[in-house]
Amino acid sequence: MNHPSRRHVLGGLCACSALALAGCQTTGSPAGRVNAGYRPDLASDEGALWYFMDREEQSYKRSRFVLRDAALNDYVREVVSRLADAHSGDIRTYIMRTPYFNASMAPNGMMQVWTGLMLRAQNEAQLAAVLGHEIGHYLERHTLQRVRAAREQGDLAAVLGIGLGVAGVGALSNISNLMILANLYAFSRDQERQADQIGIELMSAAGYAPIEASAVWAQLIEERSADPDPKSGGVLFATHPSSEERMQTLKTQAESFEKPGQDLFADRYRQALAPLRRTLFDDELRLRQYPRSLKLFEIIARTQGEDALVAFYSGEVYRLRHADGDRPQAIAAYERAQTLADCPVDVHRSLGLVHLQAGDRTAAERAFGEYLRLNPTANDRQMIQSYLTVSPS
Amino acid sequence: MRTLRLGVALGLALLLAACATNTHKQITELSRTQERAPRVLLMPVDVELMELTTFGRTEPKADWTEAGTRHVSTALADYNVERDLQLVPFDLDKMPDGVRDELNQLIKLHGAVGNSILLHQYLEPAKLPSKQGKFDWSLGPQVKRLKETTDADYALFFFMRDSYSSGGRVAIMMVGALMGVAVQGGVQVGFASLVDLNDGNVVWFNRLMRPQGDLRSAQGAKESTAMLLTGLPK
Repeated sequence: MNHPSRRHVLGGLCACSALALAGCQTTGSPAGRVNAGYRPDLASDEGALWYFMDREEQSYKRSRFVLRDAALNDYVREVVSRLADAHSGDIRTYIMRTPYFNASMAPNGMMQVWTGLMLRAQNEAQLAAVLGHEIGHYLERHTLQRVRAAREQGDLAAVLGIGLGVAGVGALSNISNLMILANLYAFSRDQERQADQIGIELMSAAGYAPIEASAVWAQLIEERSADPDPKSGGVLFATHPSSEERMQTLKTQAESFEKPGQDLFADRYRQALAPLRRTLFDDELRLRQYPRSLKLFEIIARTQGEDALVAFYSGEVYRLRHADGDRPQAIAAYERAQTLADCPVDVHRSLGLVHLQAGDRTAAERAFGEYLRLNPTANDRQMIQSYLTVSPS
Repeated sequence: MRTLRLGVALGLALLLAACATNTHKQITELSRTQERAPRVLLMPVDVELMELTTFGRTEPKADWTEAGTRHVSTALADYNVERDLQLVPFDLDKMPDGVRDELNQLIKLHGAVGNSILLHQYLEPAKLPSKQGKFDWSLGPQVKRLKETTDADYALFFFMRDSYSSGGRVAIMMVGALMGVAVQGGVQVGFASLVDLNDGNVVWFNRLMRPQGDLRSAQGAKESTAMLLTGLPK
C-alpha cells in the first residue's frame, strides 16, 4: 500500500517541480570515471567540492591524530600505488589514529585509513581490499554524485513541503523527508556495491588474493556477534549494504578474479605493522568494549597465531573487566604471554595488580619485584613501591 | 551547527532590519607607548562566497570565493594606504609549519567567536544575561603566540560570507513578490574584529549585514571593506 501512495505524491509533484526547476542549471562537469591527474574546473560544483576539501586537508595534514611514522606511511603508500596504478599520484593517504574499523575517501583524493582497520586487517591483502574499495569511490566520483542527488532531493523536499503545506497537511512533510532520506541511503548502498566491485578488481589485478575481501567482512561479522549491543555498529551500517550481503557477494566474485601467484602478503604486513602494534592494542583496550576485544584477539590468534602481545592484551581485557571468573583467565593469559617471544615487561606489573586484587600479597610482591628489576627506569616505580609497602586497609 | 546558528542570527537580524553596520567597542584609540607607535597586524581574510539556489540552499562556490578573497585582500591593502592606518600585512605562509597551524586555528576561532558576538550581542532575544550588557568577548590568551612571533600589539581579523541568488532564485523571488510573499535573496554578512594581543580581548567589533553588495567585483569588495572598517580605532 505504501508504494501507490508514494507514487501518487511524487507524480502529483512532477508538474510543479518541473515548473520550478525550469530556472535551474546544473553547473556540472561530465560524470563517469576520472582520468589520471584529473582536476575539475574551479567554477563547477565539483570544483567547489575539491576547493573546500583541499582547504580542509591543510588542517588534516597536521592533525595530531595523523601517524607520521615515515616507514609506515611509505608502506601504505606502496600498497595504494599498487592498487591505484596511474591514479596513485592523485591519492593522498593519511593514517589516522582512530581505533575503529574504517577508511574514507574525500572527493579530492584525500584518503583516511584508521588504525582500527590496521589492527583488524590480518594481512596486506585485506588492507588492500578496503583501500581498493575507497579508491573505487574516488574513481567513480561518488561524493559528487551524492551531493548532486542530495541537491535534487533537497529541492524536491522544498517543493513537497510547500505543496503539502498549502494543502493543509503540513504534518505529511515529515514523511516526505523520510522518503527522501531513504532514497539517499539506497543510492549510497548502490555506490558501496560498486566500490566493492572496483576494490576486488583492483586488488586482484595488483596480485592480492581476492577472497580476502570477503574475509574482512566475515571477521567483522564475527567480532560484532560478540557485542552485547549490536546496534553500536553505528551510522556506517545505515548507508552501507549489510555486511553479510557484502561478504557473500565478494565471496562469489572472488572466484572469477582468482589467478595463480596471488598472495596474502601476511609476513610483509606484520613486519610493517610491528612498531605500531602495541599502540593499536592499547587503543583498542581504551574502547572498553571487552567482549568485542576478546573476540577480536581470538580472531587474530586464530589467523596469525597467538603471540605474546595478543596473549598479554587478552589478559588485560580480563583484568580490566574484572567480572566473575575473569581473574584466573587473566592470569592464564599472562602466563601464556610469558612463554612467548618478546613478551612486554608490563606483564609482571599486570600480574602483580591481579594478585593484589586477589589479596595474594606474596605473589603480588614477587611480580612487582620482577617488574622493577626488568624495568629499573619505570616511570611508575614509586607507585609500584607504594603497593609493596602500604599494607591493605 | 555554526551554519545553523549563523542562519538563525541572519534571519532574525534581517527581520529586525537594523542599519547595515553596527559597532561595539572597548577602546576608541590604540594604546601607545613612548617608544613606538602601536603595531596592528592585518590577518589573512576569511572569505567564502555561496550561491543561493532556487529553493534556498546555499552552495559554496570555489571560483567566486577565490575572487572574493583576492578582492577583499586588495581592498584592505588599499584602504590601509588611503587612510594611513599603518596596518602591517601578515603573511601566514611565511611562518614555520607549527606556527602557521596554530594561527590558522586562531583565524577559525575568530570566525566562531565573531558568530557568537553576532548572535548574542546584536540580537535582543539572544542576549546572554551573564554579560549584563558588557562587551567583553575574547579569543583567549593564546593570541600571545601571535605577539611573540610578530611583535605586534593588535591584530585585525576580517570575516565575510556572501551569497548571491541564482537565476532560479530570482525567478522565485519575483513570483513571490507578485503574490505578496517576501522570498529571501542573497545576503552579505561579515564582521571585523580588532584584538588586543596581550590578552586576546576583542576591543573593537563591527558587523555588516545587508541584502546588497557583491564581493565578486573589486568595486563591491572595496565598498564592503570600507563599511566594515568605519570607525576602526587609530
